Formats: sequence, structure tokens, C-alpha cells
Amino acid sequence: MDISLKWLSKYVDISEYSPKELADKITVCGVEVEDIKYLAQGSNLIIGEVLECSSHPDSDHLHVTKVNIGSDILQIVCGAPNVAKGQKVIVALPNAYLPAKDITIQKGVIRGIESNGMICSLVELGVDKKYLTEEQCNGIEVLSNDAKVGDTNPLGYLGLDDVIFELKPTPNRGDVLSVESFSYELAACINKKVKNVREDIKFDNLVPSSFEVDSKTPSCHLFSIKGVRDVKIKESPKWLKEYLNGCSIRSINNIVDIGNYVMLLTGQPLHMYDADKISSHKFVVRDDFDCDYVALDDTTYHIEKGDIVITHNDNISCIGGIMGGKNSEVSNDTKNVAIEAAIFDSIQVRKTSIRLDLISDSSTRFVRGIDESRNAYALDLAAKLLVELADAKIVEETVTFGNPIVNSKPISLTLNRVNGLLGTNFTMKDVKDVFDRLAFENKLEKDTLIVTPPSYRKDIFDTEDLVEEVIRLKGFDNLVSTYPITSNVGSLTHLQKGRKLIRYFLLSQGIDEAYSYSLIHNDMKDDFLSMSFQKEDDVVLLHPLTEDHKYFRKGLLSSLLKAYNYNYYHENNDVKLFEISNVYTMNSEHELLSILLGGKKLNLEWNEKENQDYNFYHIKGLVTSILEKLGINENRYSLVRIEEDNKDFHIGASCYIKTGNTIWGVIGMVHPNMLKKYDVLNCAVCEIDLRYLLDIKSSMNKFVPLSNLPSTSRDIALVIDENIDSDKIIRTIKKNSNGLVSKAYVFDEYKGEHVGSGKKSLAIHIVYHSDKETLKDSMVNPIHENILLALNKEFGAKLRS
Amino acid sequence: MDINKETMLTEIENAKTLNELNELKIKFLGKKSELAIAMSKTGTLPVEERAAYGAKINVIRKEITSAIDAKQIKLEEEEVHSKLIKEKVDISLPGYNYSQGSKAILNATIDEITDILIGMGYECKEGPEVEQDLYNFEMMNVPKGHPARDMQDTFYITENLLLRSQTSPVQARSMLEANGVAPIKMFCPGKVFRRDDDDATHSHQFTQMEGLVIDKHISMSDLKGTLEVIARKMFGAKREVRFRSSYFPFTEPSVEVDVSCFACGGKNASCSICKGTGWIEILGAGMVHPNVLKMGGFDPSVYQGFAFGMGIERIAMLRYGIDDIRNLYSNDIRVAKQFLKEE
Repeated sequence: MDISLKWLSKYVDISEYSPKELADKITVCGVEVEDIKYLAQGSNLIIGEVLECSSHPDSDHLHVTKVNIGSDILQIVCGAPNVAKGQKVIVALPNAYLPAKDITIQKGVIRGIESNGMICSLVELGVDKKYLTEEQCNGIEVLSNDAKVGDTNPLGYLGLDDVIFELKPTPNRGDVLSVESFSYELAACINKKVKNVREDIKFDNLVPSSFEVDSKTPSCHLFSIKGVRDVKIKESPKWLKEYLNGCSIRSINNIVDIGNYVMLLTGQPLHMYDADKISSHKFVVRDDFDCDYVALDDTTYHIEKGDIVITHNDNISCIGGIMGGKNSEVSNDTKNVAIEAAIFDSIQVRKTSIRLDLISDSSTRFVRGIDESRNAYALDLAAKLLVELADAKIVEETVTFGNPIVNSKPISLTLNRVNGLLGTNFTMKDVKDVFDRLAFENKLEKDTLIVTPPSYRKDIFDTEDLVEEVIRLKGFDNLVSTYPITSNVGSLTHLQKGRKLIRYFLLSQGIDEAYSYSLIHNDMKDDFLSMSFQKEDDVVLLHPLTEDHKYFRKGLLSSLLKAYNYNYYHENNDVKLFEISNVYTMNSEHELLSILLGGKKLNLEWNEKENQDYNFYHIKGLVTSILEKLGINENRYSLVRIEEDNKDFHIGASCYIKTGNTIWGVIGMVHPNMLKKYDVLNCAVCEIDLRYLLDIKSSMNKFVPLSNLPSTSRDIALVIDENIDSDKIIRTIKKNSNGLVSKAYVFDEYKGEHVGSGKKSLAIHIVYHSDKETLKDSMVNPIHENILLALNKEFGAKLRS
Repeated sequence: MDINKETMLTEIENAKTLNELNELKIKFLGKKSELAIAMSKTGTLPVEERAAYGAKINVIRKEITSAIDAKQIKLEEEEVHSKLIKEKVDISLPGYNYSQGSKAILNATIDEITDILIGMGYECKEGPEVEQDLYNFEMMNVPKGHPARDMQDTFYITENLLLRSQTSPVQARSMLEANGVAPIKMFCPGKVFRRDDDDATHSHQFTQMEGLVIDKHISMSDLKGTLEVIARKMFGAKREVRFRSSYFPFTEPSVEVDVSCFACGGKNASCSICKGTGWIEILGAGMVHPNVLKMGGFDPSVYQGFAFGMGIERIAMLRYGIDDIRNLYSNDIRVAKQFLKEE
């Protein structure tokens, strides 16, 4: 809301403060002054008269003028096309500063001719072009003949000496949208009294109303019409235009301007109908229409059931509280007007205005709430101005449906409540002083202050609201700094600790943490989904801003692939990323951990030469390390090869992590088609249901006594069918060891010509150990032979010769 | 007996290498050495002379032996030393790289605040990002049609299901979970969503952190003291906080909270962080609205509380001089590598 300081100064004495000081005071108290705007600005200005005007001898567009400024006659070179002898003009004298153009005028010589100032256009003085004609925009301002030569306040003469405060009221402060109500806020901020804000209005000879009013909707409980006849459309007087300009509203004609003036002053939106254009004199407010409608702005809007409309004979003539209609618009030949002042339901106005994307000065006020006690006054004021400024001959009585709801219930405030909530030491005198400043009716009864907030302060319901008034006007400096003493203990939950442990582990392995958008594009949303919940219905936005951010992701891998692509194209082909984030379906919430190792391990030492592509074992190792760190034994889960028709993962080098029938993770290489889709190179990934993982029970660490007895070991190289997974071999070794194999692991794998096609060779290290005695070859040899026999029997394994 | 001890000791002293010394050892103490030969003659002497003769040879032998041992230690030390000298490396070549990952900047900032608040006795609470209108708005004293809903343009999924536009619903859930039993002291970091077009300073997804304390005598002065502690931990010991009146539907009184500028301390009129005002707006806060307490199961005539909230992006951007919020969501490794250091 832009508000005119000149207008405010009519009701509140602000003479002690500069606009900046005033803005600071208001802002500190809670209504933010977002900007201070000057209608026009310039120092060292004076009104002069052009005595002579001739062409510049050395230019095709400049003029040389002699300008009388009363005390002197100045020679000024002027470039404006419209400058002419006899004009009264605004002269910026040497050293004048024009903030709009950021120029300081200096004496000078222009193409050989001395120039002692500048004749100004309004644009150069900073007037917004929206208030100016094309001629005014392109040339110097020509003043009327009544302008006085030598007047050093040309902006005041033009009514351009106003300052506009751009207020940014919080949504609860509808009162700020009225000059009258805001005067009380301003007065309280600077401890002054509001004066003369209401006019006494008396009409000598009101005639009975020619209108009828009715409301058929609960969305309108108060609807008033006042008829005014024989008005004359013309230009508004200067004072009215100035006030409107000071509130950033352009003057149209006297009728429209009066409507805006009364709305700005009282906060009650008015609507002016051309009484001769409406099809009957019966106004009916309804909410049961479903049709198209052309509003004042020439746009067709679709009206739905629930939207408040004002109708005549079943025809809409206004969208209630939002915008009037083309069909009943006041125009240059309007003779008789009907002024509407109504109260429309704020929720419904908000709903309609959002749906139609139509926010007007009127709807803004209805949404924030209107002081209903001003309904009748607003109509009277408008009618009075129509008489004074539009020569109206006949004023009708106001006809009203319903009654204003004015709820100003007294609130009892104790000093305990004030100081208890604030932690302050205010006295009752301090508290009472605040409400006196605010001009809230108040009365001290024993220890209790009975405060009745005025009807325009619709944000005040209860004691805490009054406490806020006290602290905001007394100043927050009155708060001391104390510290709440409670018995709470801060600690992380099991989930938070587990998450932290995993994050720090992955960071320590050189993997960067990603943080991506949760909303993704349709193109990505179905990729890399392997857990059963990921097949549930998508969370889709009803009204997405863009297609890029329409679906809540169900998995994180597509985001990581996208990040890999981004980094790959920014010259990084060693991309290690992990992300932990919540994902959603319409049925469930899951927290996922995903890791991506993209490209080659480039992080070689300066004296290492070989780069290695990330492979299955790189990613598997990260996952198993995490499981080990969490104490999750191998018997708590199994790795299961993914199905052969999987389209997301490399079917030969990917597996699910499974417990019972639940798949809670996937580890693997990305399918070549997906690499192509995301335009990246080789890439190993995993995705794990983090909360499932952290819910798996692990037993507490337990000390096992150390054995001092020596171990003995054997290395074997087995040739087996290449489809046999090594874990089966290890299991068979252990099963046939009489409990004497303490460790057995693969330390090399070979496929190639030396073992024949379809075969592979596994090199296995077997450690024999007993806690009871030192093992001798004579004890180990038979067991070792037994193991080799079992391997041969089960897998056809032969020792590689 | 003709043994020149002094010559032997001189030769030992002059040995240059362990090999030379070893040869001398054989020469002076070996089976064919003069001492051995002399000793072997003992038997040829008269019995009464034998003891003195033997003792004399043994003294010499001991003296030679200890001279060789001492020389051996000395030569070994010299050998090690010269080996080490030969093994000199270029200490300016880089050390091997134990690669380390960087935290996401937003998570790093949350971690930092989490440490502070856990230390102050707060519990870290989490809640769903796909949330019900009930918790996101209604229990926060923002009924349907309330103009405050215009402050936060929200992504809806169904009429009653939305992407949370603030972390406040976690406050509502925590209150219900407490079942009317105070004290509550919690904070809740998390992702939130609003219908804002993405540009340098706006993001449809961003990160908030709110705190809530409820007990019998919690006052606004307690809020101020608490925020001072947090501001000083985060931004330096000299920070002050300033309250400005504001409005949030879920608090009354409500304030915007400024922290004195950590970059210039209010001393630089052209400071890019505080724009020369000396203050930066960092938090919103206030006393929990009685309606919110009531809906959360706490009797507002008995209990009071304060709540505060901050934008993690804003804090990170201010502290690190990041001018485009999209840098926080780009997953650009070049950005990550700049933030290896933990604050």
C-alpha cells in the first residue's frame, strides 16, 4: 500500500520528523515501510519566464533562451522541442541536484554559448511517466500563467512535493490499508494525537431511495446502496488528484476518484454503478451463478458457484468485492450513480480472486477484513463529495440489507500477564500509556486494565495481542536476556546416530555429499526403482510450476545420475556422490541412502600410472563396510542376482540386498541404455532403504579371548565352472573343515586361455587354526584332502596344475 | 713375548669400513693371530710362570676386543647415517592423497546448528515432507481462507495433502506426541517447498530449522537470551540480537530477529552482507500463540512457550558469500571441493 505523507500530515503532526526518521519509527513498531518514494525531487529550483527564445547558431535542435527568474535574467541553452517565448517554466539553477537523473547542474558553455542552468521536464524531476502525457514526457513542463516568477517551490506549486511511504503490512493488519486507521498507528508511533479525521456530514434534503437491496448468500451480510442523481463528470480538483497521486493511484475523473478517495481514507471499498445502465433498481447479491462475465478490464472471467456476484434481473453487474462489470460502468455521459458499500466474506473473496488471478485494491481490503462500522459513513462521505465536486443535485437515503458486525469486546489485562509473557518489569502506568497512545478505550479497575480495541483493529482478540501492542510500542529493548531452565536432555536418536555414522564413513572415503531437488521430471521418475514400495502411486503436484519439478521422487539414483552428467560435462570424470533423503509415494515415506561412483578412479597418487574404471566391487565394498560398521552379520541378509529382464541395471553385475522376502537395497552397475539416457560413462551405484537398514538388530560388541597358538595355512588354485559364485566354494570349505578353518578367502580370480572357456580359476587362501592345540601337518593334511574331495564332488573343482 | 699392542690399536682406530674391521678382528684375535700363537706357547713355559703369562695375554686380548667392539658400533652408526643421507627425498613433492568427501553445504550448516542445540538440551525432531493441511496450517493457527496462506504459496497434492511449506508441522506433531506433558525443548531441521520460481534468491525447495520450548514460565526474555546464545555460537562471541515487531499466525507477540553483522560489526557503510545497516535479518520468532498451544494439547493458562525459525540457505549464503541459491542444489563437485573444511 502506497500512502501519501501529505495526506497523513492533515491528521497527524509529523513536522518534527524527516521522512526517513518517520519511516524508521513506523518500521520498528511493526509496520514495515519498504520504500520511501518522492513524487518529484530537485534542489535549487525556481519558476522563471522565458523572455526570449532563439535557435542556437551552431545546432539544429538547441535553443538559446533568456529566462527571467525575478532576481536575475539568465541565459540558458535548452534542447526541448517545445520551449517558446512567454512560457512559465521550472529552472534548475547552477548547483541544483536532480536525484532522478543523478545530475548536478553546472554553469557551462554549450557549443560556444554560455548556459546558466536548465529548464526542466517533469521526467527530469523524477515524476513517474505513468502520470504524464506523451508531450510532458518529451518536453519541458509548461506551467500555467498563475505561476509566480521567482517562486522557489515549483514542486509545491505543482502539488508534486509529496512523499510516498510504501507500506508492507503483515496480513493481520488490514487497518493499515486505510488512511484513517493508519493515522492512529502513526500517531501512536510518534506519540501524537489524531485530529480532524472524520467530517460532520449532514444532508439537508435527502430523498427516499429509489433502490432495493437483498442478499441471497451468507457470503454477504451487509449491503448498502446510496443513489446520487444528476452528477456531472469532470476533472477532479487539484487536492484530490494530489492525494490520489500520493497513494500511487492515477486520477480518472471526479466520480471514480471520489470512490477511490473514500476507499483509501476509510478502508471501505465502494463501487459506483451507472444507475441508468443497470436493468433494474433491485440489487440482489447471489452466489449461484455459473457463466462467463466481462469485467471492467475488458477480460472475460468464468464465474463459478460460490463466487459472490451482484445481480439485477438475473444479470451479473459486479463480481462482489473484486471488480465491477463493463455493462454498468460509469462513463463520461453518466448522470445518475448508485454507490455500493458492502461487506463480502473474506475467505470467499480470497478464493475467487486467486482462482481468477484478479487482485484489486478492493479484494485486497476484503481479504484482510474491513471495519464494518464505517459502512454508512463511507457512503455519506462519497455522496457529500459528489455534491461538492460533481454538482450532484439529489442525494437519496441509504438503503441497507443486514447490519454491520462490529465486535469490540473489552479485554481484561493484568500486569502479571504482561510481565509474565515478556519477562519484563513494566508498571501499570507503562501499560496504560501504550493504550492511551493507541487511542484504545481503556479503564483501570483495581489491578486490571480493561481495554476495548477499536473496531478497525481486527487483529486484536485476546490478552496476548495486547501484550504485543505493549512491547512493540515500548520497544523490544525492554526485554532482558534470560535463559530457560528446563530438565530436558539433548541427544540424537538411533536413526540420527546411524545416519551420522554412515555420512561420516562415506565422507572419509572421499565421497561427496549431494543435496538435490526432491521434485523431478516425468522422464526420470520411473528409473532405478527396485524396492516394492517404489511401485506405489506417485506423489504428483496438482499445480506444478514447471514440468521439471512435478513428481516427488521415489528414488535418489536418477538425481545422482543427473548430477554425474552435470559434472562430467564440467570436466570431471571421477564423480563420487552420495545422498540421504526422504522419498514419498502416496502410501509411504522412506529414507534412502544412495551412492554413485562414476567414471574412473582418477584420484591416483602422483607416482601411480593406471586409472581403473569403477566396478561392482568398488560399490559392494562400500556397502559391506557400512554393514560391518553397523555390526550387521552376513546371516542377516543375502545378496541375490537381479532378474535378467531388468532395464536399469547391468544384469550381470548387479544384485539386490534382501532379508526374508524384503528387498531393501540394490547394488550394481548401471545398464548401458541408462548410461546412454543420462549421457554418462561407466557407473557403479547402490540404493538402500536406510531406516530398514538401521532397524536391523545387531548384537553388542563382545570380547573374545585371544589365542596364542599358531595357525597354519594353505593356498590352492581351483578351476571351476565360471558361473559358480565364490561364496559357495568358501561355504563348502568351511563346512568340511571340522571347525578348523578359521578363515578362507579368494585372493585372485582368473579367466582366460590357460583354464579353458567357460571356466575360471580361483586362488584361495585357507587358514587352519585350533584354540586347543598347535596343529601339525599330520592333522591338517587329511582335512585339507577332505575339503578338496568335497569341492570336486560338489562343483567338479580341480586343482589347477 | 713380542706383541705390539699399540700398533694393533692404531690399526683398529684407522679401520674405515666394517669389512676392514672384520679382517682386523681375524688378524688380531683369530686362530692364527699373534695373540693366539702366543697363548699356545703357554704350555711350554714353566708352571709357575704360566699364570702370569696367560693373564698378561688376556688383558691385551680384552683391550683389543673392546676396541674392536667400540669401533664396530661407531662404524655401524656411520654406515646407517650415510645410508639415510643417500635416501633423502624431495619433501616438496605432495603426500599421498587420502581422499576426503565434502558435506553438502546445507547439511554442514544443519550439523553445526544441531551440535549447538543438542548441547543446549534440545531434541532433534523430524517429520514428513508430504504433510497434511491440518499440521502444516490449521494446527499452526492458519485456518482455511486465512490471508496468511497467501504468505506461502503452497504445493498441493490433494485438497488436504501438501508439500510442507514450513517445518512448523513438526512442532504440532511434537506437541501432540508430548500429550500435554511439558517441558518440550525441540528443534526440527528439514526440507520445505513453496511455489516460487527458481532464480538467484528464490527456490521452490529450501531448508528450514525451527525450535520450540514449552514450559510453565517461558518468557520472551528467555527467547532473547536463547537466540543470543545461538547467534554467538554461530556467528561469533560479539554478536547482539535485535527484535522487530512482526506477524506470524502461530506466535503472539511475533518478531523478526536481526543479528549484528558478523562481517563488519556495523562498521562498514558499504558492507555487502548487512548493506551498511549493521544488522542482518536471520530469524523469525515469537511466543507460541495460545490457539497453537491449545490445539497441541497444552493449557495456555498454565503453559507458555517460544518458537523460532530460520532459513538454512540464507545463513549459508550470507556466511560463505554465495550469491545464487542454485549453487546449493547443483551438486557441482567444484563447489564441494571448496567446502572440504568443516566450520
